[in-house]
Amino acid sequence: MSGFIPVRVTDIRQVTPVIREVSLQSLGSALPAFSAGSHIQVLLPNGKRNAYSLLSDPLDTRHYRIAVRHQDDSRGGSRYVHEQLQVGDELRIAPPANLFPLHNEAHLHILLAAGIGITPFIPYCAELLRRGAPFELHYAYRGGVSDAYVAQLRELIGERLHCYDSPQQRLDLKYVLSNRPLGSHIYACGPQRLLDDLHQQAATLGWSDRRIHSEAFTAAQSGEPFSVQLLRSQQQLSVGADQSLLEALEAAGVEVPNLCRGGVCGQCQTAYLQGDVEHRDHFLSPEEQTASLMPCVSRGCGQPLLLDL
Amino acid sequence: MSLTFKPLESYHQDFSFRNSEEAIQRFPFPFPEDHYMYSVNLEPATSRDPGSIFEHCFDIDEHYRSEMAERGRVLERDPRRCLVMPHMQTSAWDTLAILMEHLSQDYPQWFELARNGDQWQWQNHALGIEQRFTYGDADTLPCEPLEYIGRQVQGDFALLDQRDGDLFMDAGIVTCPADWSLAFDAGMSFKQWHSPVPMAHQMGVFDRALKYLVNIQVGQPVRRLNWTLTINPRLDTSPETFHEWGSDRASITPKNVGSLVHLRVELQVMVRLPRSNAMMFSIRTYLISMDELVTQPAWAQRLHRVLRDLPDAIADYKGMTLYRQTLVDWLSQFDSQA
Amino acid sequence: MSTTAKQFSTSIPRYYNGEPNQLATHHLLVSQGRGCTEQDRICASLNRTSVPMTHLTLTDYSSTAELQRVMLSTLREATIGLRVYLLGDEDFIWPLHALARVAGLQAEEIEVIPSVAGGHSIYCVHCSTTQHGALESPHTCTECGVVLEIRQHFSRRLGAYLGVCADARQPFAQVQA
Repeated sequence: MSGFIPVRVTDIRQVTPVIREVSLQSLGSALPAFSAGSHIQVLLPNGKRNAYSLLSDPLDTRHYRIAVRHQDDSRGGSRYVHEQLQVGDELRIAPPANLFPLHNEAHLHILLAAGIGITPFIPYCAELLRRGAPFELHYAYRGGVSDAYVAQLRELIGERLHCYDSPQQRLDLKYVLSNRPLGSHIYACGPQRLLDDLHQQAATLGWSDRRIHSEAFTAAQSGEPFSVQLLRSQQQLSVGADQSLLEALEAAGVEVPNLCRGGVCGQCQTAYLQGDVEHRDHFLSPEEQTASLMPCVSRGCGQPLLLDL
Repeated sequence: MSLTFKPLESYHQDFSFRNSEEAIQRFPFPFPEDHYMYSVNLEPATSRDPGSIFEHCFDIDEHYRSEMAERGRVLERDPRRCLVMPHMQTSAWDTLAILMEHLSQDYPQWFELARNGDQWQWQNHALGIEQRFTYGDADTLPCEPLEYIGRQVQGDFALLDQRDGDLFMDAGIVTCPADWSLAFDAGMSFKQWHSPVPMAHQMGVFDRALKYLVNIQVGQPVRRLNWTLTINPRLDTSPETFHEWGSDRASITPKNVGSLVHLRVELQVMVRLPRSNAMMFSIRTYLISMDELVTQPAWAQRLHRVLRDLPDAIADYKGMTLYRQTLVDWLSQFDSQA
Repeated sequence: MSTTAKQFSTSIPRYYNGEPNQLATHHLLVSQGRGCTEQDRICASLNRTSVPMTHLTLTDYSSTAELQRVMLSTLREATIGLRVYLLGDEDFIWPLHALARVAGLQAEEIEVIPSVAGGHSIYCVHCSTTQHGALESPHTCTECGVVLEIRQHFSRRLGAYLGVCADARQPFAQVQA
């Protein structure tokens, strides 16, 4: 991962009681342009490094905006943003990457967001409006808790917004997926459970997999501390309870290519030679997991790990 | 190094194209070894060696005006050389933006770009062009954005839509192809348009290359060199015009081999377009005659060995079977161990 | 890596394996009728599945254009879950394939079944016309007269094999005495 961009926090806004929006401005040359669905990695002063969807309009490169939900089980990333980050603070970010792009052949784009999963769809809406492409947004949230940007979206896209204030109003996947015209594609961002339900329901209604695009808002979770040995660089590292293996490697100067930091993109796949692994990714097949792990989310357990690094 | 342009030369009929001494010096001789085999020879396209073709992402050289005149000539004859499928409009604008940004940064004496929101002003002093336009509104340009910028940048451009873990050739401006047709290949997936390449599929070259390419990120372009041979300094070696140039291959004799046979090297640069997430595949072609090439003794010796030992299937695919022996015999005089 | 990328390792089309799509909620079979030996077998296999099947056949319409119009309006009304099966000569099925793609079907939702002795479609790269012919022998372009060599390279968009001048020293067929 090369070319970190130094930025300054220019604005912090409490969007809901649990969601904070942070605006970032470049300290050097202009920020790179990006496509709808892109995310950036933010390197926080406490050493945590998380991926967040960009929610600003892709054509506005004066600022980037991200929204961060407070997680009760935060390893320190979201807590830092909510409790310590101040306007004027300087951070570094990785340039935008897109693991959740629009499908350019779709005739109808059906967007499905749960809670903080709304973030990638805000630039989607701007881009789809610009293209004049048919779309609709289905947004499930808890009113007064995770209902970020509802008013703004209502103004921007009007009738195309369908809200589900849970638990009173339930998002009915079968209804959303039924009787759709042939050029439809569906994009979902939310917890893994929602994505699993979506795939299952879609399959029974005859949707081919290639019409379904999803992004889980996964991030590393805490666990037990463990230690790891590196074969090639002859190092012994200990990984703290709130630290991911990837973060521990980076802290030791071992750079592993990575994009999503949530166990889905496959970039940081690393071979291990010995030890027990608690696999937490959604990328590797069970066969692959016998020899590889995803250090962004997975952790050692039991027998100490020996990595081919 | 300051960039100057040669007076207009031609890539057809009288073939007046020649390389200056400086152009020969910066020619991208593509063989790191004495033998050649397909490989995924991709490397990060970082700037290196000031003055070389690797300094800037999009290389402009002394042939700029001639090559742009040639592109115009080919497009007048055959408008199918530029094609943009409806879903590639955003990518076409993205291409225009990235090319204007790079050219104005890398060659400020020749190209200038001023932007105020979506109001852009472009000046190309090399071709005497000044254009004000609204970014995203094709009606404010004299032609579609890809053709507009393609007529002002050396090299061919294919725009690949990324979806379903694959790349699809859904747009492009291609007037100097090495025997492939945009009009025919349009809409194909990565492996489909590489279908005619022998051997490499079985070697898994395209599996590995595709996996690499779909993961290229914004700001991290990659490049590779590819090569073939061409008779005469002819840029447009397309299937569309094969009946006009294919017979040149039969005209090679020991007397004319040095002036007629050209090594053709493509600098291929793969760039992730930031606003559309499409992949831009730029193919910048360099030509050098054998007479020009053998002014560099190390190149002459190595080319002799590469061509002598090349597998027949590859030689056939590259269209050199008819004159290969004549060329190898002629090159052997520059190989001390031949 | 995507499965489609693996499936089509070259540009030559892979044809229907005879297994009706398991995800389908509705089948649409469009056939040329005449000379389609496969038609009865495919009809029967689609009818054995538990989902409805619609069959359009050229013999019921006055022209291919009329059939294409009916197919397109059927597709405009159709919903996701539909799988399409196209049965006939190459120059019958590939224009329908292009229509189905335009109507929003994914490539993997369309099966193509060429009739056995149907001949092939050839694209003359010199004058960009598509015509009927055989793959084995040189083919003289009916439009520009160039004698074409047919390459093992197929475009789904054009529904044709690539034809390129066979002998550049003698692009045109010699006039027979």
